[in-house]
Amino acid sequence: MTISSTELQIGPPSGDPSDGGLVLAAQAGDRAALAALYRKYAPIVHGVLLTKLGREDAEDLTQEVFLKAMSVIGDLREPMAFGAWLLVAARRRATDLARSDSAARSRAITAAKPESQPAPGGFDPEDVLVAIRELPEAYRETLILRLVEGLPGPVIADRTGMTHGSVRTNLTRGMQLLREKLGIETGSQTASRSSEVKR
Amino acid sequence: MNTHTSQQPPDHTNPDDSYLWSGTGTPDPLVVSLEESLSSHKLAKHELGDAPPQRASTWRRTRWFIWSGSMAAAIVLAWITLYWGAPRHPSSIWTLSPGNGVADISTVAPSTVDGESGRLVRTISTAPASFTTASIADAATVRIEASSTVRLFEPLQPLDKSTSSTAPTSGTELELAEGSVYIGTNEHGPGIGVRTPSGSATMHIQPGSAALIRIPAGDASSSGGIELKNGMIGIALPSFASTESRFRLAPGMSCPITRTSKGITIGTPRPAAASEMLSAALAFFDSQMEAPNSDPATRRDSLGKVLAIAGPHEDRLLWNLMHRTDEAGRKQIIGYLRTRSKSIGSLDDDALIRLDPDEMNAWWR
Repeated sequence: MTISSTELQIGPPSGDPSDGGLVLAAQAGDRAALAALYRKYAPIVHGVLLTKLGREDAEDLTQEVFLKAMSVIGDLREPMAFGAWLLVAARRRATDLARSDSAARSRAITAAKPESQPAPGGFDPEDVLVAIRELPEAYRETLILRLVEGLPGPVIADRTGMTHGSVRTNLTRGMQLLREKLGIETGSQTASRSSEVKR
Repeated sequence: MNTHTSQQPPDHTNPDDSYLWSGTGTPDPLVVSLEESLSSHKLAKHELGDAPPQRASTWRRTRWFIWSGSMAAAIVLAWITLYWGAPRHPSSIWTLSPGNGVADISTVAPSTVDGESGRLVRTISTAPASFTTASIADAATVRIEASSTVRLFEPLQPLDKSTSSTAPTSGTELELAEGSVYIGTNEHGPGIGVRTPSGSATMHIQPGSAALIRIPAGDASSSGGIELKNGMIGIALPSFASTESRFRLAPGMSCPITRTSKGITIGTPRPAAASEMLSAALAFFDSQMEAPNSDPATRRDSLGKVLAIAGPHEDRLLWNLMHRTDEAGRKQIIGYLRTRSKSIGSLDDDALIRLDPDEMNAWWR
């Protein structure tokens, strides 16, 4: 096969290529690489946990879930698939935690409600999260990553291994459903409608 | 997280969702309000600290201490037994860690002194369902994939100098006999020398990237080339010495893997001992060649700088440059050589500019 110079100009089809080296280094026990992966992926893990757990639990457990996943990183055969692999691990862990201590978790979520203060945007964050948690899972996770963690759609796609189209669909459709749940019919009716939030 | 199938198709053309999608464009008031409201729930701790506090009970902790103490004592006893009972072999600075299948580490042969180079070497063979990671701090990390055989050379002088009259070669090096390896190198490290039955090269791989070196199973003479696997660059080594391939790495040549506006790509092969100035000029040249809308005058200037720094006698570099530039650039290279060197002698300029394989091969030889 003769290789033309144009054939050399190739780029990765999906995923973040920089993960490859970091994962290899992390698999070899490089703590700096582990820290870099944490900085990059902690919001993803936190967002997934937040879909099933209360705010404090999600914050406390993010590192634990990440380190648990890292303890078996040697099993990851394709370093480029790290984001998707971590997402599955985080989702499974969140489900286990929520199931194993569901009563306490729900108490934690409920208990947070009376203490929550009116947020800058005019919505009660706990009410919004309750509404998001009632959405289908795909919308739930994507919306939390966008609205809570502040990750733009393209970044969500790169870090979760999803296509841009899928993320955009989840955001658009999820937002439509969230509007309905919050009792808002159009985008122009915003914070002023917070008093009409459905429980 | 899959796309949720909905009856309503997404409206990707709706300009109103640009803020929701990427945080750009006209802010959607509802999205902004939600972002502000939920900001208190955002992850606060972005740095990886120490391991989370143990939640075990006192009895569990006590049991853990007893168990771990016993294990530590057993390990120390076993180590002492092995240390005094085992034959002496020189130590290695390669650190090995098992992948799937701890038992496969046992197939690592003890370090020996390579008769040819006088350097310490260890042979590692992985089983069909396992892999092993070998690393040298500050130099390289190598993941040896399943069903592979690799010889790891020490970057040190031979411990027993009396065993070899050959001067040791500096640098980290591995020899891949079969299978495949992924390689990552340290940003400021010396790179890593890679040898296969069909060629050798020194590789410098940018941080965040990994190179796949693979020897195809079966017919070793089958054509190889650059291949893309999961977003990483792979180099099938049989192409290194192939006269059919434009991409060759001869001994003493180095090939960086760089990231450009088009993604990860292979930089121009250059002498392994290229000066910093030449490397910088080549990096600029590569970026201009890969840029989709680069200015032709800037491209010519970048090539001119490479030629001026490299000089007319870096034939292998100039040969590679021919394949990485356009027709105008090739004329520039040939014109430069004609006035300063006899290396292309009686070869036909027009054929070289057309990249005629026979003429290019003749030049290479």
